Amino acid sequence: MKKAVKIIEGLSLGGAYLSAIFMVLIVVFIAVEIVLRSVFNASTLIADEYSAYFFVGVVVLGLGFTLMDEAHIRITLLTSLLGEKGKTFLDIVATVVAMAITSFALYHTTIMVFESWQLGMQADSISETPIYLSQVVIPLGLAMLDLQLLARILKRLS
Amino acid sequence: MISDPLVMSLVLFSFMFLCLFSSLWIGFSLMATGIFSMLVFDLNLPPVISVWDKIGGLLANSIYNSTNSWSLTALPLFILMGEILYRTAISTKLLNGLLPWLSKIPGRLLHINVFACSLFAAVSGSSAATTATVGKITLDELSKRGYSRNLALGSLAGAGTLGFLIPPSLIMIIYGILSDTSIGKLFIAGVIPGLMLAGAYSLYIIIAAVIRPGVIPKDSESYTMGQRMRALKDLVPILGLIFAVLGGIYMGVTTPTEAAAIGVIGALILAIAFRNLTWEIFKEALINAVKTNCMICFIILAAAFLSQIVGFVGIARAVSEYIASLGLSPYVLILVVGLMYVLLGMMLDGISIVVMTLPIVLPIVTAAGFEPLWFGIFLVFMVELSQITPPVGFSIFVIQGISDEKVSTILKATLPFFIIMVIMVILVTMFPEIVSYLPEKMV
Repeated sequence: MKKAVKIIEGLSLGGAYLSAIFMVLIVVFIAVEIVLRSVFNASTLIADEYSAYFFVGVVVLGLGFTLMDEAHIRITLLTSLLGEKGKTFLDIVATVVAMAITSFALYHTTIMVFESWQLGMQADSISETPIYLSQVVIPLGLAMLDLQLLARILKRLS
Repeated sequence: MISDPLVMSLVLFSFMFLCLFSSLWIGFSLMATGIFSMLVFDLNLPPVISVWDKIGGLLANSIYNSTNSWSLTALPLFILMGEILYRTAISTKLLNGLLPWLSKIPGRLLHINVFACSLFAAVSGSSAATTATVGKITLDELSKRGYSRNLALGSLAGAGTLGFLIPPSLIMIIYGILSDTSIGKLFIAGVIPGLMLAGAYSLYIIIAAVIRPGVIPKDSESYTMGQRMRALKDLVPILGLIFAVLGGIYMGVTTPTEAAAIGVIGALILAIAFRNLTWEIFKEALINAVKTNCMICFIILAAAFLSQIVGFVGIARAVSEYIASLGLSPYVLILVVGLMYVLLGMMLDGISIVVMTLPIVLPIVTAAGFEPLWFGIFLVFMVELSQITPPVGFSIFVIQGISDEKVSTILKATLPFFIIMVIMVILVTMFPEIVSYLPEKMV
């Protein structure tokens, strides 16, 4: 069980690194666009579109790690009044609810990606990027969040 | 099954607070509330569509549409910029640059928090970052020199919240996206109210220093004009960065997202110039930015889902029609809205308040004749108040972390600055031109 938790946490950290890399890519992309526009009077034409795609990755790939590091906010105003046992119990209940919602979202975002791919949907822009490419990180990120929630339950139970 | 939208809104709010107070994460609480509303409301869906598929479709679309956003991309970039600057020597430079200039004003160095926060707020999008960056150096320095601890803590809490009001501002980015208001205009609209608030804080410090001379040490340091001029060069880096970030937006050359990317690069250049940049520090700044950004964006995408549902079920319209039927005067309405925000601000953080309430509150206040641009600034003030109200006030937590003082001490020190902020809100409400003057002058 400890090993499973370790693997999941490694995965979450990997997701955070990917998210950070996407963030750097956005900065580089926009910088190139600004230089092109102000110095060479040209444009990449896709800087804003692709920055937004990368931003999807920045958000969803870091969700698991953010949970692992206890950085998602919650209100502990009332629960902090409970005893140790009550707190652990409520925490497990909250995590189970969160897992149910994440799994539900995982299922439906997978369908969304599949449909975008099947229908051959393309972005309404010059690049005509297939939409599923920009969506595919979402189920990936949610799956990692789901695993991290599972790891949380495993840790609380042991 | 419930079919009356007004009853539904009560059920929805009760369920939401049940989730929130059982310590379910805020993002998940909003999602759970959305799903719950769809299940208990009498939707009259055609029998071929399953309600679960409908909910799932809305949820998947909200997640994609709220993150696939060029405007919102400014958010992680401004966070990253703040994280890099926090790790540079910029706070020391601010202190050294401002120090010689404050020796003649009554209250002397007590003004350092107000001045340093105002300047730093112009390159930082958040109050927590401003409070932490400025406070980590000024609090010790002021105590060491024998200034009143009370005024030092209070002015830091008050002035730190300028991070949200003086552009760039994370709250304004979020509000701009949710309300479809120009983020650039919101940024510029915050300048005058921000400077007025800073001025009011300084005025209070001057009055306090005149009435109670004990708050400042007896022996004063004096500086020659030459020393003052030399000190200015310590302010050059931050002034340059302010110009690079805000200049482009004001002149209409860059979008806020581009300005944020310029800001990140500017912060990196400063970090290299100050010799603060190592690979470790860069990595740490990035990972922290990832965490803060994910925390905020998770709430935003959950709120986007909930606001779709609120619209779908007809709650937003029902509540605004109900409020309109009460026939409140605009001032009474805004007073009620303000009190509600102060109350919510005691329990929740600013960003959650904005995203949770906006779908319902914005239609109500615009129907009463308030400009969305003006309401954005009003909302930023409400968020600032929420930062310093107990029991949940993020600025208070930050100051507690860097000062090791008791929360009650910090709160008592912050009270006068809280009152000044409330007075400013009243002024801005009575004279909306304070907000609209600069944006109207924009190119």
